[in-house]
Amino acid sequence: MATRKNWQIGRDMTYPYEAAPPKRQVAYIFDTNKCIACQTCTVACKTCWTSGKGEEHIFWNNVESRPYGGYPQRWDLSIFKKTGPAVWKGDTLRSSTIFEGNGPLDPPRGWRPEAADYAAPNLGEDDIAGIVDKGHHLVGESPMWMFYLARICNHCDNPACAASCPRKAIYKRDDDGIVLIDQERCRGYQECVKACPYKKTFYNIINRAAEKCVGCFPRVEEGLQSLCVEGCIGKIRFHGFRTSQGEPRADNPFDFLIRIKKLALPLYPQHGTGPNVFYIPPIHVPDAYLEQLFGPGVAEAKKLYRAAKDDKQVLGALLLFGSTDKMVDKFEVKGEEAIGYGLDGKEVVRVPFTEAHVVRNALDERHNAYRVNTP
Amino acid sequence: MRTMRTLTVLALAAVSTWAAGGCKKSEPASAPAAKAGEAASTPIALLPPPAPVAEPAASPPTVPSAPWQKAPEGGEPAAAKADKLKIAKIAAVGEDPYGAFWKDVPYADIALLPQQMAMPLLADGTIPTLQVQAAHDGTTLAVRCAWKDETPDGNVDTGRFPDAVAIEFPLKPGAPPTMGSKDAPVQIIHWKAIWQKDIDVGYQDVQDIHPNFWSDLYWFTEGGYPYKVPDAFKKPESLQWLVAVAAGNPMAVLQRTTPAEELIATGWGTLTHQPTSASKARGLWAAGKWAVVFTRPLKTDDASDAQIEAGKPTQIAFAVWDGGKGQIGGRKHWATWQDVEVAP
Repeated sequence: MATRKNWQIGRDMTYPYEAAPPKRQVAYIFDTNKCIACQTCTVACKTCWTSGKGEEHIFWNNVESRPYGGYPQRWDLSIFKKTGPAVWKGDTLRSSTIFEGNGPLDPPRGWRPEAADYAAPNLGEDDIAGIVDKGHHLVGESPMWMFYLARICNHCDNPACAASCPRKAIYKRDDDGIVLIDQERCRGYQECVKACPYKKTFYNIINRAAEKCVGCFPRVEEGLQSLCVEGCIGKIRFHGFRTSQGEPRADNPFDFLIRIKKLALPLYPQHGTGPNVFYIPPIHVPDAYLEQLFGPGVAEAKKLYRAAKDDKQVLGALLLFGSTDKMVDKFEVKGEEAIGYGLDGKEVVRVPFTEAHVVRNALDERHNAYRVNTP
Repeated sequence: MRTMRTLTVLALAAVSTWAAGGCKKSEPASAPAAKAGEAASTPIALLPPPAPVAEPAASPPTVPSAPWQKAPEGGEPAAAKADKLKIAKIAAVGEDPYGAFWKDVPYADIALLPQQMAMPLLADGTIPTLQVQAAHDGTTLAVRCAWKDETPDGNVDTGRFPDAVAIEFPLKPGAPPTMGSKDAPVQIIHWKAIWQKDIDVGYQDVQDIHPNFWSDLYWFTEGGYPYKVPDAFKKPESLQWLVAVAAGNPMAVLQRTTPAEELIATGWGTLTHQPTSASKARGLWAAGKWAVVFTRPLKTDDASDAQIEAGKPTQIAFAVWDGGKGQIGGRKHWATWQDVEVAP
């Protein structure tokens, strides 16, 4: 067992392998406040990557409704049955990660879903948390909240799938931190399916091997954002590299929003895997629930998000979401524009704070006809 | 929580069509059933394992077979018991687990232990002994492994594993039985029930375990629903989504020719498939018992094959898995090197 620093839980932790962080690490930011669960991401991913036979039940990308949805069913509740609830003292995790407190020959604590758990990938859709009683009305946080949680593989700093594989068929790439399953070496033992706390490795019954989100690595190698990100019509997603070795950079939008501003938070940091998909928490949902998912930084992040309209730097970074298919490594705010620079340092996008707009008269004089808004 | 539970129930109702035929335990519609008269008593592989029943030792010649297999004629060939495993010399060996020649080959009971030396371990052993017979006819070696297992598990799915057995030979003297070591590799010959089923009734398809699974199309396939594997997947471009198949993963061989796989290992986690193989195997489940025969030439010209010489002692180690109890990979039973005399 090696000791690793895990900034997400504010302390060192044990992990089976020793390894320096990758040279660069892919990171994603998902703004849950903007997601409408249209599943365009899901379809973009599935059409490209998992439309083969044996992959019918496999969604590398899924969007589930919270609090009741989950794919596979009960994926997060089931692991908490093994780990117990997280205990935080300030920003430090006091309880055990899934790698700690096990026997010397035990893989990370986990559970394996059954085939039927994958059968209803959007169960619980739009179900709200509470019962709507007479007299209820919406004021700020509501007992009747729900929100959409889009999920992909977290390409973790400390992947539980890799830790559990007795064949060492799972590896993390040094160039981009993407976690992949070697499709030649995997023998379908399903230890990774059991170990991944996010349940983002899957068993393929035709391939008889496990598979997982490949992070759209052929696109990443071209400096392009992944398909689920590019396809997102709500522009809720942002994909690029965060600094993995060295200090976070204020001009890198990922470092800025994740490490410096702490607006985007990891999902279930208490498992200790160091996930690299970061979520801007939904501002209408009670902290007590969100802290279970995103850790102790929820209240601050929500406050910051509500104030983002007055913070040009934060707003500028957020405006870059969905603005280009290229990865943005550096950004700056100049006047009324946010400017994104690609991995090669060249400008790739320029987004105005206020979009150009035109007000048209109701009467179209050229055709002498009235324009009608058709509902 | 109540809402949660209600949702779960709804979910199960919603997926019941999907699950019809049993997500957990069902057999392919295409699998030839056992003889009509036996169908009722045939244990269906995919129901929860029945409570242990008394050993049907003195059962009549007709024996229930694995649902996809033809029942063997006559009972198991009765052989004498020996204290120690030995490779006997007989006139001719074959790969039929119920071949009459096995009557002349004494069997030894090899004690099995749950594997608890490497991650992931098997917490509780469920198979105490392996009944082993071994013989050669001057050119071919045959090793017959038999063990009690109430349910033949010949399918794979999430959380579903096949029964399996493996034999191991040292490739250098002093090789550790625990998957060999860097300087002293071992050779392993592996048999799995799903590979046997591939041979017996064809490659396990999605609809074999989830009969109502529907998909409008799979890219570049030929024909229509249910787009059988491998027939609908003849065009190379259709294999793009069968990634492990396209990558040549030995688990994903759509047209398998033998249920045996040769491997070498140089320590834990190093198990490596051998592209050329002289080994064959055949397994038969009947009356609550698997019997699997491995055959291979005594001598080969392959450097990664153990060479067996008549009259010279060798070593064999064993591993057994009960797939229905979640045993897979390192979660297995094993027996250390048996020093085995080879009859001249």
